[in-house]
Amino acid sequence: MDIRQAIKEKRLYFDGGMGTLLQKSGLKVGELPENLNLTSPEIITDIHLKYLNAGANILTANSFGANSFKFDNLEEIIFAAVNNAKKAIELFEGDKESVYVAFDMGPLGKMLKPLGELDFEDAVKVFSKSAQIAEKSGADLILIETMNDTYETKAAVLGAKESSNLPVFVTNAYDENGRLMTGADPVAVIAMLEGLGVDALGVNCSLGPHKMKDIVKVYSEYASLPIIVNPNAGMPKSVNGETVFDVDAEEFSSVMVEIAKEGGCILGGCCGTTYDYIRKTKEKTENIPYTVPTFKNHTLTSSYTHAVEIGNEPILIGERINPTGKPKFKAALRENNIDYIIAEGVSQEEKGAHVLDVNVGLPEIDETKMMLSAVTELQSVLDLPLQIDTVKAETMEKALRVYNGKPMINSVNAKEESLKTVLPLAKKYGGVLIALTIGEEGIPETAEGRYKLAEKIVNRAKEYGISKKDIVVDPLAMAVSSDDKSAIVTLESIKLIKERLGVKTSLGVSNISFGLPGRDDVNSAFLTMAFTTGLDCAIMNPFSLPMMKSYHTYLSLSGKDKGCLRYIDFASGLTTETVVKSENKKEEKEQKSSLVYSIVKGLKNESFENAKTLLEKEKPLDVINNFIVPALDKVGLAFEKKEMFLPQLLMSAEAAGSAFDAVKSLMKADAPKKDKIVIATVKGDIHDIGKNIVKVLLQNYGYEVIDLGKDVPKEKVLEAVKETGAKMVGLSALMTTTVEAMEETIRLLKKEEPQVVTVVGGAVLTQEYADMIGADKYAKDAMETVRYAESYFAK
Amino acid sequence: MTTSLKLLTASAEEITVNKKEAFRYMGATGKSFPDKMQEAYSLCLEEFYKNVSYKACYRKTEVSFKGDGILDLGFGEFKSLSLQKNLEGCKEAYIFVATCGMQLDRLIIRLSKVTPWRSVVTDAIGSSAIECFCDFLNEILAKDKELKPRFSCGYGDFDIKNQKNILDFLDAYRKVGISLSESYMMTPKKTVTAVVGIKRTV
Repeated sequence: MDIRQAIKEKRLYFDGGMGTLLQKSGLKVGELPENLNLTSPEIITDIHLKYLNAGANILTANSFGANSFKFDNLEEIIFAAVNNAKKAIELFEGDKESVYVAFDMGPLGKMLKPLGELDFEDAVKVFSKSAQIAEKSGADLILIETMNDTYETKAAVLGAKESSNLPVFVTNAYDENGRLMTGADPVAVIAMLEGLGVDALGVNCSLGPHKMKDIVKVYSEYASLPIIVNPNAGMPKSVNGETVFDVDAEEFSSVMVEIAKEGGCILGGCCGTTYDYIRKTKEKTENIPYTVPTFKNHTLTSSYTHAVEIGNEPILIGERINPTGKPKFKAALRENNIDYIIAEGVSQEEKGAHVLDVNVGLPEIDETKMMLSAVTELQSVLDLPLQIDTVKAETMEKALRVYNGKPMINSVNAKEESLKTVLPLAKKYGGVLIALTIGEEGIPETAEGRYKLAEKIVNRAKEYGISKKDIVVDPLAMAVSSDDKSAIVTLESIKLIKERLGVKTSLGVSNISFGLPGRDDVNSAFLTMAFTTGLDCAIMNPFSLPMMKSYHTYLSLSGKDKGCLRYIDFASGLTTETVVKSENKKEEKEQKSSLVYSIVKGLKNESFENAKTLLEKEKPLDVINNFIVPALDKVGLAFEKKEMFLPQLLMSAEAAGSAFDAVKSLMKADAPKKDKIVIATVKGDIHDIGKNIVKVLLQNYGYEVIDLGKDVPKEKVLEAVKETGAKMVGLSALMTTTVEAMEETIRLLKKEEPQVVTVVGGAVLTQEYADMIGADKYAKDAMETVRYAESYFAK
Repeated sequence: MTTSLKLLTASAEEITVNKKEAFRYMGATGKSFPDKMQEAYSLCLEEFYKNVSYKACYRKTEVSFKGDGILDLGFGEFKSLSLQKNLEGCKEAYIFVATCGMQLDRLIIRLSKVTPWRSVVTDAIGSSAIECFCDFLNEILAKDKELKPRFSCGYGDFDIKNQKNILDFLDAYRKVGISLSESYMMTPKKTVTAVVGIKRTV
């Protein structure tokens, strides 16, 4: 029987640990256990056979680390690993029919970008390769296990599913706090894995059975798939020089009984568990009635840390990462200014958004490329789920791939073309779909018409195997200024769609006030009406105070905010903000040359305000030359004299930056031409704090900095120089191992673009080193780089 | 013979971060610092506390000297005159890895995009904190033993490439989530591995 069917009918048992047994049979520390598949196949087969005799149904092949990073003879290793397990089945005298061989796929041992240097797609390729061989070798399923990072887990699942048709089981390793090493809680993991369409999921390693109980509880509450539980035999300890685990087989199996009752479906063990553990677990749990988890109706979107549930109380989706009607945002997209987008994301999070919509579509840019960098950069610094918002299928697919979690997808509509393109993507990658009630004929004028389209989408999604819990219908808010009934129809649609279809709903709220004065007030009143009707998600601007007030008051008035605590918190935040502002203003007035003062003191908001005040009487260029630059110079000098320190230097630079923002908003054609400087941390190096400091300072001295990031190949540096015509390149390296890459980059630049000057810095560099590798300038700190640029470009 | 792996964690409050060292990492040396720096430090320390997760994993091993700077540490041979000198007279040593955790890396990345000055201060706090956590671990190991000063890859002629062997020996990826890049850099960034010679048991 196919294991997919078997797990629906009866309780299956995994085997226990392999490592401990291998060490007992003489595996030396530091040896790769997978090599034993070739050198001592009889030992491996013997272990498998003993597990079968103990009652295991699923043998985990000895292939935990079998990937192309570790083995050149990968095919040979995987075939041997699977064959050793199959051999044991041949020798087994019990029921051979209900025994399966799992190809074991563990983590690669390398961290993915942005925390590490492994590219997501490269990780997918490595897993793909192993999975492909596993299927050829005759394994019955792929077990992805001991995963402690959601991103790598996703890469492994995609790799396994894209290159094989084998069932995919996934178990993750949680720490004592019930989180994966990179931060995810169980609900986030479940949301992502069920979205990706795995066949069974669960937990293994790190914890003993006692500590796993609470995690299994969460799985039973949220997972609709069979739950696998493979704990360690407690914690390792040393007795007379030998490693033993502190939970014995008797105790282990007793806790496994509780776990089975709690919802554990497929049971087994991990580190430290041996034959007895499996035998006793099976004996004690065999007769507990077996039930597969029921369907769980939670609508979940997730980030790399947590899931956001839609349906319990309204959630806010921040709409500001979108160029529509925003000249500054458009300019940022054209200049490839990712930092601007990140700042929009961070500020919306601070204002209370639960999910962020990401739309970077602009006709004149490469939307796919921009979307990929926006998604990867945003998810590296923010822990909110993202809503991928694009009309291009290619952009959508690429973004869904690299997204670390279960995203929201904006959007699908009832037109044939949209259904055909978007639904397969949602099925493959998982996601919560925003479904717009737009048909071939446009937007129906009646609630009934909109309901019909929603129904069509839900039915079509079902054909693709997409549950309606993953569909959030947006019945569209249209300008009430052009149609008196538009608000009423939208609200009626929400009601109808929720009642009859049982799906969640969403609205881009602010469309309602289009064409009217005092839009915020109209929006906020409409928002309250919509919430009262049952709206689940509001796509809106979290910076709109009236709308945020509506949201918080609605929560407390509808009994969703216990003791009105969140409301009180929100409201008191409003008053303190004003108090602080007025105090600062008083202080400001006392300062005569206030802009210089606020920059020197590193006061960001004040610098912006002071610059604005100055601009009322001074020309933009004069504000720069007579105030901002002298202030920065003052700080720079104090830094060089060690009267001020690096953090203060940066505070002032940031303050100057916000003053520049004020100036820039007034400057157009007469903007001074800035010189361009390309900067990068070289290939192999992932430390970029020094480079970032240099960037901030250079920018605030007026340079246009093209920041290529960290771990940058020399070719990319050359390409950037050619593309931008920059005359100066700054390179950073932290370690001796990467200075070589710096030398190669300089060599390439000198050969291809000899007019470019290079300035280098970083922890291990010295003047001597810099001379040796042919750099034009060694800068001991960020300030020296600025001084060098100033003198070089003055020539 | 080698003994089993032991894990150790500490809460943020258990480790007192050495402020002077943190200031030194920010390039601030001297006797007094401006109030602005003190404020910045306190502000960032508070956020650091919420994001640090100290974890360590260690194991005892035998040391044998093969001459010419070649040492057998029970899980492989190492060539380093400096390490040989450091371990002089030791028959055993502890091997450990200690980290401030992944969430701190995230925080520093985030700050570098939003408020760069805070990323610099937080980075410096992390650099100081990991050393303090190593001291904390050292103290525990030194309970009934006299220990040599800890010795890390990259000191003297003890090649940074040995990092791989040490992390494998400690099963560091599975136990505490440490991974190594091709250029031998560890993630999370605030992570230290070391060899600590055992002079004698007291």
